[in-house]
Amino acid sequence: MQPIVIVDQINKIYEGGTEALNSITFSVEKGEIFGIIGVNGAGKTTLIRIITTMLKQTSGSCFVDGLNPIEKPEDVRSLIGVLPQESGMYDEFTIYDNLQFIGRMQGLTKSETKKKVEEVCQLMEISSRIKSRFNQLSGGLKQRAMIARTLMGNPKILFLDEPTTGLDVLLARKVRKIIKDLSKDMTIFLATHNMYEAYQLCDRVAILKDGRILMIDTPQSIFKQYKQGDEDFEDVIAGILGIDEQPMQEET
Amino acid sequence: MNKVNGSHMVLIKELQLLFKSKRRVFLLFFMPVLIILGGLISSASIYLVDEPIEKTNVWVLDQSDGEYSQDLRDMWIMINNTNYDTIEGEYDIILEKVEFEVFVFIPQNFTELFSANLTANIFVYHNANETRNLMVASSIIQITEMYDQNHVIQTNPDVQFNYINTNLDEVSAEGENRAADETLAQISVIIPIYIIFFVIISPISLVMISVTIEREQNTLETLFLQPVKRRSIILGKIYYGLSLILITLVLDVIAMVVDLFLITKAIESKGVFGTGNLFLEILKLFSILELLLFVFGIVIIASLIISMAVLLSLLAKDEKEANMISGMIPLIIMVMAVLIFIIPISDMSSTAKLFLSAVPVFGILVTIYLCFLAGGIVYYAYTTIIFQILWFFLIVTYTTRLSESESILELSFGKAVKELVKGIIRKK
Repeated sequence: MQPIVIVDQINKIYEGGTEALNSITFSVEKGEIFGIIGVNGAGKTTLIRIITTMLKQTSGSCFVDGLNPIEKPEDVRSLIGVLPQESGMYDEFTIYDNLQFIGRMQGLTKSETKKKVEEVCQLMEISSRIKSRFNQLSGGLKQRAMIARTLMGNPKILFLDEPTTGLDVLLARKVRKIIKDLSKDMTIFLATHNMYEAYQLCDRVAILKDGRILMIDTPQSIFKQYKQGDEDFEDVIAGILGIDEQPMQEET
Repeated sequence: MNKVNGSHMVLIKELQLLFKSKRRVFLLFFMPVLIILGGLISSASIYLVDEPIEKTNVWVLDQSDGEYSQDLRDMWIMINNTNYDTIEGEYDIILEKVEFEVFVFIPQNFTELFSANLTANIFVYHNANETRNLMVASSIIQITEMYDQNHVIQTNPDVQFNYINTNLDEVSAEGENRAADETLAQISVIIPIYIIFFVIISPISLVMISVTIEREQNTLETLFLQPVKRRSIILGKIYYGLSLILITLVLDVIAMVVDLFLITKAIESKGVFGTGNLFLEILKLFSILELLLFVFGIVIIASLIISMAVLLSLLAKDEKEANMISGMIPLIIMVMAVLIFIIPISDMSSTAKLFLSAVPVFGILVTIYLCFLAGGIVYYAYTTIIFQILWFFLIVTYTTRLSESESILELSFGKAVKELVKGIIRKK
């Protein structure tokens, strides 16, 4: 196997001194689903943003398919598809308008874009709603339209940031199936705080806590190694992260 | 994969989005609709006046050959609610009698001086018993002043006099002959400011809204994740602003022409005007070069403000901050207008005037003031245009460079200043 993403000793300190990432090192193999799991604020989104050229690390380096995101940002962006936590779609545009715009920005011609839009909509089973405005769609349809958008540029690597957050159980299940299907053709980098999702989908996971990687292994191996009694995977990860020992933070 | 023209794609996307929202379309057409509405109300109010407007009788004693003075008289006839009579007689005797309401004397040497580009005087007197006489006299003076340099002197203590063009010497020294006095030149700066407001308010709001919505819907991140240079995305936003300026400019001019047509028709129907088209007559006051410079100046100033708005909206950390900035821009322009009244620009040295003409946005206002003061295009009109274009390119370059920074999501005012200082130090 050959690594497609290499992250080496990455540190990120935000202005104001908040340390978001500390000596993050790992690599993602071509074709695998690599999960980053951790609670909110662990640094998952920051890590994705650094690899996808949206943020600059304070120190360390990373490579995407051999390219440095700082030196060749456009080339890196042409290799990746990113599904951020928030929609990132134009509410007033239809699904077609949204996808068409992204297709054109990805360098496809008009006819290629049209073809690609049909293809990804079919794949996501949203063809019948292609002329609906994005803000009139249900949560599940929105999520599928957003995944369709990430596929418009034929990405080699897909970065999914909390892809099932806010979806009901059945819709989340459907999205997970889509992710599994997509992994046949591309590498997937999945950031999630849903342990069940990570266990079910990921070939390997990195457990992130306060900007540090605690361990990297297959979910099955972690489960086997740390399971006590009748604990499920979520209990195991909670134990590793020490969540049960932490006091609940006051809501602000 | 084809080479992507990101800015072109962003421009098309913005225009498509603009017409998807009724509120934004309303904002685009708001100003021209408002202008037309103002014209309709004005013309309707003229139609609705039942009582005939009392006209002032103006006597004109014209001892020149009428080559230039006739043009002046055509202008007075058009704008004032007056009856004009050409009278014969002795100047001194007419003055002594004081039977007139308003009396204008055009001396014999008027044409001679005017054609030699020298100070050509007319004399305007009014009977102080009626306020409207003063108004007509002032109006004649103002029109004349726009058209040709003149001053009015008092020879008869029973008659109120008007004296304009207090900076006569300076103007004469510059060899111009259409100068306004200092206060009038200062007030005249308000005209382009009005036009600038008409032209920029909607585009600024729409550009700021477009960036704010991108933030709100998180599409800014999606945009910056596309495999194009980030500067092309920023340029797309600036092109969008420039397109809006052109659309607004055309719509506003159409609305103003409609207004002038409506008002002219209304006034003519009341028999107040003599002949002609008010709009064309006003345009005749300026040369083609003056008009071109004026329109070009407004487009440059609007472009400069739009590019600043794009930069500031990128730096704003949230919608609130962006709204605050868009509200502050007109306020800053108003403050600049006030500065024209406060700073003794006409007393400044040429170097200081040149320096002021280089200040972004304010430089154009200073130059317009100097043009009104001199009664024509001054040297600073050209320098300020060059400076403002330079500022525009400087801001666009800085904004695009800032957007290429890998920390696009971390941009803030503090960071922008730091980057600027770093850049300057690096260059040094």
